[in-house]
Amino acid sequence: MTVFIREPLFRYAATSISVLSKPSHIISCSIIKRDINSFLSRLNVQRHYATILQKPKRPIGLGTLKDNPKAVKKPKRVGRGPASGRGKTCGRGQKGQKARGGNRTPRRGFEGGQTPISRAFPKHGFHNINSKTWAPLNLDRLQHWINTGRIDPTKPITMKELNDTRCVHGIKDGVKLLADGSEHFKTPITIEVARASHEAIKVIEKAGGNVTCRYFNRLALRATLKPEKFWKIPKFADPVKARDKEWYSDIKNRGYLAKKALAVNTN
Amino acid sequence: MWGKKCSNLFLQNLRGNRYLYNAINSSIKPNYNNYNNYNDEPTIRLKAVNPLQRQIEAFYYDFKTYSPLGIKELDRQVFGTAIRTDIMQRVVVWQRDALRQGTHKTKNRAEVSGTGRKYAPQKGRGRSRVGSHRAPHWRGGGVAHGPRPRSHATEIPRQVQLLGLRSALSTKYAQNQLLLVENFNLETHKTKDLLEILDRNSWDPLAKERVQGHSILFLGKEHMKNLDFACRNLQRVHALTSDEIYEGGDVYNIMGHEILMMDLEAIEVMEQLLKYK
Repeated sequence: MTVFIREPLFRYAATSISVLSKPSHIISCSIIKRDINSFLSRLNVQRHYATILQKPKRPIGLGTLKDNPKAVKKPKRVGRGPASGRGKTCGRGQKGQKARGGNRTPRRGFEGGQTPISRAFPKHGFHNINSKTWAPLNLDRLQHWINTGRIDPTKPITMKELNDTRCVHGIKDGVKLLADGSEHFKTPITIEVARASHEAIKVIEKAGGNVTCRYFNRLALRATLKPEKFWKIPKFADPVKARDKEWYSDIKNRGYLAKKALAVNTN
Repeated sequence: MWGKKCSNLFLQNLRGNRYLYNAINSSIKPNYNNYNNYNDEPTIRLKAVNPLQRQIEAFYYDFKTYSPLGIKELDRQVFGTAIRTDIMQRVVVWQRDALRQGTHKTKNRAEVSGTGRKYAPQKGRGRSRVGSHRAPHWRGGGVAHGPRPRSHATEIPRQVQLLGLRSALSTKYAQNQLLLVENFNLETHKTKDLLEILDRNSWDPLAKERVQGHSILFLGKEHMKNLDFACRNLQRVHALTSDEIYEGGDVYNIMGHEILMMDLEAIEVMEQLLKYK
């Protein structure tokens, strides 16, 4: 006995089933979906699915996969005899600079043999590889964002919320909380950022809030700002440099390492 | 008023250019279809809706008895998309490129054994000048531009890999080769027991008559010890996890097995990973 099941017109409506007990004799009946399981368990079902999609014309397996015609360009094979069309001179024409080997476009900054500008003048200035650029966030701006309902103060605020609501722009290495307009700040919040000034910490805690400064490396920062880009959120790394370790394990800065150590001690 | 005058002047200058004139004229005129002058109520705009159902349906079975237990709704984006053989081919070629050993090697003129002595004097011989004995045009000489050990791995965009996966799963669904089971719980790790189940349910990988597929891929959420051990010595039966398939963009294994058997957990993981976000 074989069963063919048609696609239900509505998801929760009745599914119609026609039973072919003999080739000539067709019984059709309709049953409600919740009863279907008991019904099916008594029958040998031929298809593995209830929805019918269009079957491919030819069976598709590893052997029948192919790219679109002309999708891949064949490489140019030069110097393979006169019949190939690119035999003797390999499409380079007659003698000259362009017919020789090693004839390429000059590298960037090459000025035809003249001393290039990068070498004509002495080195100047200094680039600090350890410096970090913090995106500043002042307390009056944060208060304004809370007042206008763009940030929810009842939930913990991270840099993602700040970035999503355009409270902070152009985050490079993290956000630093600063205390401009601190006289307007009244809301108790819990906030986690990369850095915070001592004045800002004082004001937020006076209002009944809580600040944590966390270390973010590039990966951790990207995972906080754009978690949708990750299919698994990575572990956030602790600082490696001695200077960073020191800064984040200082309770004056409300560093997360210091808070962690405190929590362990109190327990 | 100023704006209207200005626009009219602007349009007069543009009369010569019919295309620009039409484009700008239509953009300046208010669109009366969407804009209601007489009352402030917002007009209702109809949006185009996809007539296809979002979900497609599949039966799921008991693994041991092959009796249907119910209907599982699958995401159409993952299990019912267009079948792109070209994309799948690209992904499979990319996978197999990375699988190549690349250990082929020939000896060049420096590596072929033999001396580097000058074989004949430069002058006075009445024949051509000759240097090394092992030059490529000599018998017993080194090979010019021969194969060297290298990696054949290529790169394709991640989005193409994921599209290939969606398309491979949809192919399996459309060809009736995707089989959902509730779980793969086996009591023993014996191959004999697994074979008995497969044989009873007509999925036997060792069957002489090719009634149903010979090769089976089990996909679970995680590796199960019993299943892994049971199918370890079977040539055409393999067990993988949906994470492994997703991470590697593994179209090759999905298309390389005739039956793809997934449990409900693996389906959910796969849907979550492969849905358009």
